[in-house]
Amino acid sequence: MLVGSASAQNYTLSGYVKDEATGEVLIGANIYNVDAENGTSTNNYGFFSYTTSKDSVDLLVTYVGYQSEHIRMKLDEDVELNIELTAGEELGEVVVTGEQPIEEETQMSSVTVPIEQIKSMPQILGEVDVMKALQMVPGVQSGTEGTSGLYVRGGGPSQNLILLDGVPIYNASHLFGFVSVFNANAINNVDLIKGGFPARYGGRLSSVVDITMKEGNREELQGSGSIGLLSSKLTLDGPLSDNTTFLVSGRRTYIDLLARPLIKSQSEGGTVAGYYFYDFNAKINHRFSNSDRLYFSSYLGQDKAYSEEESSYTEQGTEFYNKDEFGLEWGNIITSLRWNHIYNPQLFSNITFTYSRYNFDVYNATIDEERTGGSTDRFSSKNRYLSGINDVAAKVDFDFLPSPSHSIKFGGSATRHRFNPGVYAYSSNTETDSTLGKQRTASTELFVYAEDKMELTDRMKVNAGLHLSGYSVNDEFYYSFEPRVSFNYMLPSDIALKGSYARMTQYIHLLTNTGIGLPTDLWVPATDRVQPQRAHQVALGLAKTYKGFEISLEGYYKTMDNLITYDEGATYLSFQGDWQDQVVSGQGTSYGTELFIQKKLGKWSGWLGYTLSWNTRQFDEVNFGEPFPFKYDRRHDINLVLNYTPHEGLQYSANWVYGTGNAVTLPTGRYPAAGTGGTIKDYEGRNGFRMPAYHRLDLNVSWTKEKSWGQRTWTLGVYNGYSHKNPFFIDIESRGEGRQFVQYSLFPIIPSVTYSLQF
Amino acid sequence: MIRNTLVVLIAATCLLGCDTVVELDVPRDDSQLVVNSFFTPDSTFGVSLYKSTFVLDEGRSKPITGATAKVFDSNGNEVVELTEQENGVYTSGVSAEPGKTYEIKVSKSGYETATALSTVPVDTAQVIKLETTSSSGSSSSATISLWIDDPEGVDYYEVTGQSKTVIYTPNDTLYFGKKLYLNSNNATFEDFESGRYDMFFDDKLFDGTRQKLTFRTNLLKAQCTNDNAECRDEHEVTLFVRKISKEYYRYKQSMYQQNEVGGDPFAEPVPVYDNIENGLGIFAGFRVNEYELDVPEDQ
Repeated sequence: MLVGSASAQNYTLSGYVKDEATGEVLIGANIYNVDAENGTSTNNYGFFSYTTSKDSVDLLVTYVGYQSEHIRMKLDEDVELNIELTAGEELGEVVVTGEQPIEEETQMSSVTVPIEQIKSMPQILGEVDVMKALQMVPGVQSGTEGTSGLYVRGGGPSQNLILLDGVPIYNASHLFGFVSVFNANAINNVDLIKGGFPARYGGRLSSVVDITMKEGNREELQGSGSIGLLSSKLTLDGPLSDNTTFLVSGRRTYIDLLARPLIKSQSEGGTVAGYYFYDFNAKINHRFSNSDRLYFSSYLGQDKAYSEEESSYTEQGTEFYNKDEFGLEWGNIITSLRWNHIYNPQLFSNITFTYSRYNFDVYNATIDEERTGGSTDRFSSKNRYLSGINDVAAKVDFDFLPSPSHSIKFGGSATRHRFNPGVYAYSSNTETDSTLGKQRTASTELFVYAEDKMELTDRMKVNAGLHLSGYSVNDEFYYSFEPRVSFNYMLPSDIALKGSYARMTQYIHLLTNTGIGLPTDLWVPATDRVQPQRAHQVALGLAKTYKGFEISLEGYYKTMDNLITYDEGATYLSFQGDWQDQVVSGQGTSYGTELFIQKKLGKWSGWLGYTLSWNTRQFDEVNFGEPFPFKYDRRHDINLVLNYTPHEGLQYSANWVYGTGNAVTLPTGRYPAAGTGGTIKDYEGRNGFRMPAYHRLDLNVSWTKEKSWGQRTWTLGVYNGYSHKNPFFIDIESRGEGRQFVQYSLFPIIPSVTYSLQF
Repeated sequence: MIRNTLVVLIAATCLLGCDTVVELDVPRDDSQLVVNSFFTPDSTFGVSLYKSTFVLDEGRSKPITGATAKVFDSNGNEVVELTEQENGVYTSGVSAEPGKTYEIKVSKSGYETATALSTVPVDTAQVIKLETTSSSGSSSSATISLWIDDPEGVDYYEVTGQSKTVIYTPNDTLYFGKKLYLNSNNATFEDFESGRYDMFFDDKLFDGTRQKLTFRTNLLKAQCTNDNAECRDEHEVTLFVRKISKEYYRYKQSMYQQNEVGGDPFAEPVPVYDNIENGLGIFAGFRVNEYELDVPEDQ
């Protein structure tokens, strides 16, 4: 393609890899120099830089689901190279088998699930859910059935750094935890890191979920939408000008709209009640030049449950009127403004300003009136409880790629957190207004990092880095020195031996009494009394690609300190007490082995994951100080995800999950209470018993047909296909032959149908 | 609301049969010896002994007969051996002394000897003033105010009350009695939003200071009907203010918490505190003051 003269100097090729049809950047595309047997991959913005001392290259550019591009060129100067890949005919023979082979990557304990695969997985009520797809990965447990929280290598959902376009999201769920906030139609890429964290990430103990939104079609306006049982979605994206693209995507549930006439008719018009959630994503990307791009992205999501009841009657000439209102709302707003700048072919930078807010608001209001003649006696009152957190942050990141042997990243960030850990307000027309609750707390979190992904020898690659963070709250200052290192040593037969160590610190805690991710869960800062959470994790594993299957086997050991939990019996945060008095801190240990076999392409694709793990907690004040199994300690966890596409337009998919039953606290005996005549249940230890095992099969089939206006797809699915009664909670009841353990289940077989279209 | 939503969800799926009897690996261990005793200088030592019941077994816990129960002082000297009465109740004619520590030892063949220690508080609660007023112009609703001088250090209390009515008619004398159900807005009782018969509390919010505690209650007295001129009624309302040992408080507190979360499938169950080595139950000392209240007359 280009011809140049030979010389002994270095040349750098840099640019973007994009989808040929839409112009959407391809994240993690592999650029491999066949001659030199080395290469690089695109970063989260689709940018790559490759430096070589040779005067020619033979590049193979590959990306999952796309036809590979072979580029041979002579070099006599640095080259700016923007590569466009064509989406593969999924079954075509030219499609290559993937991005960088797993055994080539230094990063371990990470998983990339192609968004198309996430979309094709069967889900409850047909609602595509990124987080639930990640629950199918080994090392990640789901919590309570149907909820979207991630329990990664023994950690809790609050220990996941969930980034949407680089901005942390605090409560990633709608519908009381049953649906995650991410609308798959607006998403380009999802990465999950469970261990061996690169130095650029910090602030959470257990995982990084890095979600990148699409940028918008550069070539033409396009749209997609769907109508499902739970929600409907619509996405539009396209060019605004030659250098500007946009994407907007919205989703809303509508059960409240459908049920409203029914509720009204049942209550003779006096009652309105319902629940809905919506979310809205928008992104604008403007290219000032090949070296400068500006991105603005935003997410807005809200859940609301509400009821309003009105009644009136007249008695003995007096009209009585009553109105009760109740509302429960929570939601996130996040915004980011990012400037990408390429200083030179080897140095790429990002400067980002972000805002993230999570608010929870519950209120009820009552009005009572008695109207007699001309006079009205009125009583009104309002209770309100508010909590939330908001962050304003600035971040700068640099990618420096001096040679194929070094990929250096460095940068820093400053975040101002404002916590509102629960304020209760009461007002009425007869009493003085009162407000109870803790003062708002502000804190500042800073970090700087540097990491270098090095190729030390032909067989040895290392990513070594350092993450330094500091946290200032009230008069307290905490800091953390966090070395991070991963290596990949190539054994014979192309088997990679990988290892990693990471130390992580988390300066914020989530107060939760259920562990199921309810909006009432409260984010609180580390304080002088409640220390930041800290973790160490080591992992060792093997990886190999064999006949299109990526196979990895990893073992890990993780310790976590300064975890907090409510003191025994303190199930809710009280308004008057200090939350710090109601929590106790302790530690956690988690270790296990994970096997992951993944096939990303072909008629058959999917994965098999198996996790064998142990996971305990210890708090001095809980369970008499003895260690006890974590609630989601799951000895065996199996996930099978299969996709079968016999021909274009028809796709079958299936999930099967199996997990050892959750740990549960059960009484073993009972005895009379002193003085009261009551009965006491005798518990021998927390989480000392196991619920029955959990297993479930989900199935999907979808038909896609080309139409004159675009494409339509019908998807039929069933969740829990053989309607297995999975344990949700255990009770003790008198049944038939006496008192028995009775298991309650949540979801039986649930069919779904979804109609979606692309135009 | 949130929990209600989940409950509604469960109820909805239960239409399709969501509950199943399951076999769980919960061992049917041998029963344990249960020792229940609160003691005070104002009364004699007594203890109730039971066998604990396997959680799936029906019926009440069986009393233990033929056991030996002895109380020792802090030097290991035997204070008294309790005498067996009916239904696993063992009594004595000896009372505890203020400020002293006692140990109980209960032996029964087939069980290890169960032991427990507790100390009687040195002082009674320092109640310096007590006031009863009627609320809302009705004698049945009363507000009881109590001023306590709390000494420095951690102290635990319990307030209970009872109302007694005696009705004299020419033919009969009738006795009515009930415990008072107490409500309070005081921050100390924040957990007991809907009130309790036994208001137990610590002095965390008022350590070393004078504290006014206010309780609302409903006396609901039995009384003669207006048309019976020969009928006469007498009312007596008594307030008991106890200063309780830490063991007493922890037992009550954890029992309250266990009941509170009992019906909530999402809450972690709370084990009840016990201080019985080789057994279950409670052996705990307390002091008590009794106050007869001036009940406002009907208006």
